[in-house]
Amino acid sequence: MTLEPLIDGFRLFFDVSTLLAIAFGTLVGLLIGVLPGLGPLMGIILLLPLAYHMEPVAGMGLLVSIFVAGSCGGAITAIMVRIPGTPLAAATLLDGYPMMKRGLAKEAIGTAVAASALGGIIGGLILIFLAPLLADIAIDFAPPEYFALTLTGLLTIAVVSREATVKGLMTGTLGLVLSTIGYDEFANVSRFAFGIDGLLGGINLVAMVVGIFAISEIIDQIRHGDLSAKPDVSVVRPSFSSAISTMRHWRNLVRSSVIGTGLGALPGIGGGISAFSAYAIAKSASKRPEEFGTGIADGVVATESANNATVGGTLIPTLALGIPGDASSAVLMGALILLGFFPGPGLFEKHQDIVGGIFWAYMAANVMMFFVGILLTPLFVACIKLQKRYLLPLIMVLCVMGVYSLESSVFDLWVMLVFGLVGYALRRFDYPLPPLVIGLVLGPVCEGNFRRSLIISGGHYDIFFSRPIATTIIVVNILLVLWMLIPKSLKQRVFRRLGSAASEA
Amino acid sequence: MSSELKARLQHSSAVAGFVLICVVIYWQCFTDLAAQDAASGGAQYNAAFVPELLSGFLIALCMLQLVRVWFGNGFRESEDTLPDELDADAPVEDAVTYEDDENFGLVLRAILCVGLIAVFILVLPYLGYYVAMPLLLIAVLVTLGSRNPLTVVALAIGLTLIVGYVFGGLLNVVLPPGFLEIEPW
Repeated sequence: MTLEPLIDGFRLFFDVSTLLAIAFGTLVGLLIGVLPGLGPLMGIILLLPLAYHMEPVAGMGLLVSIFVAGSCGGAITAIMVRIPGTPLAAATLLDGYPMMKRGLAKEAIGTAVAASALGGIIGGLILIFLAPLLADIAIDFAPPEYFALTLTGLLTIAVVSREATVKGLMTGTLGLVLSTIGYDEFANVSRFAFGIDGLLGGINLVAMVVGIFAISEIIDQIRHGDLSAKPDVSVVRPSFSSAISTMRHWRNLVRSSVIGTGLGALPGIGGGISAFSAYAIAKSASKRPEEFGTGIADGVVATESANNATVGGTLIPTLALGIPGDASSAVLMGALILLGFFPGPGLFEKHQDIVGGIFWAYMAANVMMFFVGILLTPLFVACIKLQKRYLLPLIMVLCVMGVYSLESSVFDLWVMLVFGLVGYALRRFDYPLPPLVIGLVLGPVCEGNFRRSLIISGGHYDIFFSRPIATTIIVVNILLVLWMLIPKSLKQRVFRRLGSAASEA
Repeated sequence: MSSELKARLQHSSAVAGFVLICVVIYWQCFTDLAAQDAASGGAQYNAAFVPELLSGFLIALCMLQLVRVWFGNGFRESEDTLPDELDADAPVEDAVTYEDDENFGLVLRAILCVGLIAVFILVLPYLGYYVAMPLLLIAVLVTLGSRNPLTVVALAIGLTLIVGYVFGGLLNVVLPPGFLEIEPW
């Protein structure tokens, strides 16, 4: 089963348009990662409408390569100007910037790009091996199991929001409420349309997501950013030999990549946390831990390999079970649904070629990222100097035309603008936005499977507790809720005690 | 009004926005969906069941958040209201006023940009993409501080043509031709 998707998908992957889409996505991903304040999520959202017009594997290849390259691009800014281009690169500052200060900027960038690519490939291998196995286990799932599983996905809302659980649950629930707008296939009526034609079929997901994330980001940057800031950086040219020097840290590379993939597969963790965790473990495993933080390649290898491997890890539950772990994978899942394919065991059973094509695209994006990253570093460093007063109008045009191009609908543009204001208001009061998009994407799936289960059982709720797998997942969900209710300080105390016990052992 | 009270009221107004959405959902369930006979019976065929359930849950969360705002630190999380770098000894009210004054120009810029997008959406069907987009870009670039007329016009026209070619020429999207009926690709 493991190799079948790869064999079936190669034909779809090995196509000029797909390869071009991956190369373009890699370039855009690195660029968007380099620019502070943006990140892979913004890149995916901006080019989502473009992917909608492409063949499925080419479209997903474009978005996946932005996810991959966007997770690496932030390292260049972190190393050159001590500002992480994306939150994922925050840990790379610790050794990357001191390396630059010691005159090793090209070595630091070369190591960061090579470690990201190699970490991504290791994450990809685990993805290719594990995702089909997980999908195979879930192959006999029926609506009750899917409902229980989507509940798990929804619980990630609380995990994603970490510091603001109540606010995260509020925006997540708002996403679920908004997802109920439109045609209800079970009752054969249109809900909450207020007589507006554009709402009869529901709100356009892309218009909503572009508004919530991109338009609100533009407003936020205008309101807070120094629009003419221009950091003073000099041109750097790393070499391909950095791959060899990175391989010398193979133990650290493999360990950090496995940590990144493992943590990425858990909902709500993300690249930032996995990079810091891998850094801490690399430091404690090192023979010279005192050198960490002074500008050594080991630190950069640990953080960059881990945060790119996280992308592969995140795709495992997204593709195999239809549970997105963060906002980026939720948007990727939404894109796959828009392209006509629903993530989960059914995708692996009926559309192995699409799954295989995505796997190939993911691996190719990591390889291309290495070459594009090394060759075009001078361009990316120059982009750090790009003033926001020129960048923001470009993003605005992409948002407007991207949303319009979906259905040639002016109404969608209004949706985008309204949700841009909603998104900005939520940001203004520190309401996390990722739960909103997770709620929007998972809402229809959760409600559909809930009501389908009840149709099967004739309206009896015991269907959720009479099937072993559904019951197990629901019990796990309840345990998750209980875990979230335990005060943070108590959890930290338990972890500290476990950590000291482990180190003593 | 003290800054703490102001922050509490602002955060409460955000919560009120959520409650308002829930009220609208309930109102629609009891009127529109009930009139269509789709708001009763078992959950499987009841179109109002899930929205009502979610709205109820959201209202409960809103109440919890209000408790945090008025009886806890739920109002302190906005960095605009109480910035991290705020000197502990400085009078809070002065610091907030200073912040508000400093940001006024930027807020105006942000409002102007949103207004410009709204005007663009309004005129797009009439003026068409190739007239409305450069005008929007010129206005936005000037609003964001670009002063060189040559750069502004070149950027506006260049971006319009490139984006127009990608969507109109490569992706075959029909861009609004407007009263001049411009469809170059």
